[in-house]
Amino acid sequence: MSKPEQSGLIIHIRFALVVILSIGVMAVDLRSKALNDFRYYLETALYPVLAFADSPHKVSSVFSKQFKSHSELLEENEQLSSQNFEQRAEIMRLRSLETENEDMRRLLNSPSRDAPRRLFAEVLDVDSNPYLHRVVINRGTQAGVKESMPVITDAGLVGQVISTSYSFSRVLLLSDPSSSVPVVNSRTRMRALAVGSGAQDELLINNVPRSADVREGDLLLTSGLGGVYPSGYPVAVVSSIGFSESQPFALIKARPMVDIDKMRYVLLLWYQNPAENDDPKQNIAPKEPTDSKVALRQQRIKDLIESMSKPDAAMGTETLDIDPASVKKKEKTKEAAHD
Amino acid sequence: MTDNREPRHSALIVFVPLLMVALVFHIVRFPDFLNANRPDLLVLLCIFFTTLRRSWFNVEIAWVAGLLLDLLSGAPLGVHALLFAAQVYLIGSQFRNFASYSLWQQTIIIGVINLLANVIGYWLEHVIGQNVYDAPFVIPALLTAVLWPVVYGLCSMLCAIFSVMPEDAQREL
Repeated sequence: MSKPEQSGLIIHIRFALVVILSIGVMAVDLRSKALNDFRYYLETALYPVLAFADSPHKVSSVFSKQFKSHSELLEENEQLSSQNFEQRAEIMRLRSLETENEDMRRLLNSPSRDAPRRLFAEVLDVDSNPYLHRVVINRGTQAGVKESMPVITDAGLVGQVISTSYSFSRVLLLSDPSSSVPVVNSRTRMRALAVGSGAQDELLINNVPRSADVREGDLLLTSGLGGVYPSGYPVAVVSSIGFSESQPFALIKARPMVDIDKMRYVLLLWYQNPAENDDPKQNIAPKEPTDSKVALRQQRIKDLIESMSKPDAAMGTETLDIDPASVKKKEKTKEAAHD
Repeated sequence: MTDNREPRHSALIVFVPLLMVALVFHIVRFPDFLNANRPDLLVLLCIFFTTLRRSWFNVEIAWVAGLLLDLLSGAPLGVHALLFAAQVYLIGSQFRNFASYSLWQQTIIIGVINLLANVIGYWLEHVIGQNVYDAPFVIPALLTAVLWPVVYGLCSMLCAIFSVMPEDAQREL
């Protein structure tokens, strides 16, 4: 009789130990960076498993590529070349606009925006945990990927790099509840925050007053505030606006531009927040006042002194002191004399 | 006859490759419905080996298997580990004669325990701060339960092929 009871007790104790260990590991993993190196090496070692898990997808895509018919390929080729032609023409126009924009920025004394360095990457795996909206891409520290690098596709913003390993990194998607992106409404220039809702095709636009001018179909772009995402990339389109009397803010939902389910290739951007830029070339000195402004200010001071010295003239003193401090002093003594 | 004198660790021959397969199953991409309601194959594997080798397979190994899954899926370390250990512990401590139950009884027990584990997991994720409100937990538990007879049959077959004896049978010999 005593043997099973004893073994039962042992299993309770063992489980209690495991629970304590789990809580410890969770706390260390979430609250401190102590396990980061451990994770980095282990995840790098587990890369073959990830690559293997992706193989069915790869095989199917290879097969579907192989079985495309000749006519289909020709058609696609034609379509792509015409598209390419159009885009080249567009790029020509954009290039002239870019130089124009740079010239104007130089005139206004604001820092010019260089095209950021980009890196092409392939989506390897979608994290299967329903609580996490993340994807794994096949570029890591080996290719110079760093944490918090913005990730885009041709359609718009995808998210940011959240952790890196030697040969792959994880990207936090916009739809993750822990992700929020500073956006700006392209129509009204109203700023807001797009927060992930946990659903793949929905973002929540928080803290927008009910009176704000937001319409369905408004395009939300990154505003560049916060320093993680560069400004001007499309994020989402407003899909629904709800007003509830009990809520102080409007309930605005938006649909991300990027179809995360079908996304296969992404671009990583090397973006440096202009506010944190240490490059002396990029740092522009505060604007110097122009000559006319200096002249105007001098004129004003002169007028002021004249207006102050006029009563003096009436009293009979003819000093025209340029130093305002001494003028004040005199006034004070005069007032004392009046009293 | 010589098979009966195999060392006790021979269960590893079956367990380690199956562990790899189950890990890959957890991260491989499926159609949307299955992606959201993925059954816990790894837990079924752990439960099978608990019933097969009570003395050899234990809570700690389930914990390590869960930790590997945490690493692979990018979840906070320890979440799956705790859930896996809890499920193996519940089956090991509350259902002492689990191996002698009929298959449909085992299926029901596994479904209920997996549901419980999913609820605990949901709660844990909330405590950690990853709040998703529409996370499913009933359908994955159902799928896990339905998958149990398949896993049981497959693992028994593999154990027979590689002549890994259940513990009771070994003791009797």
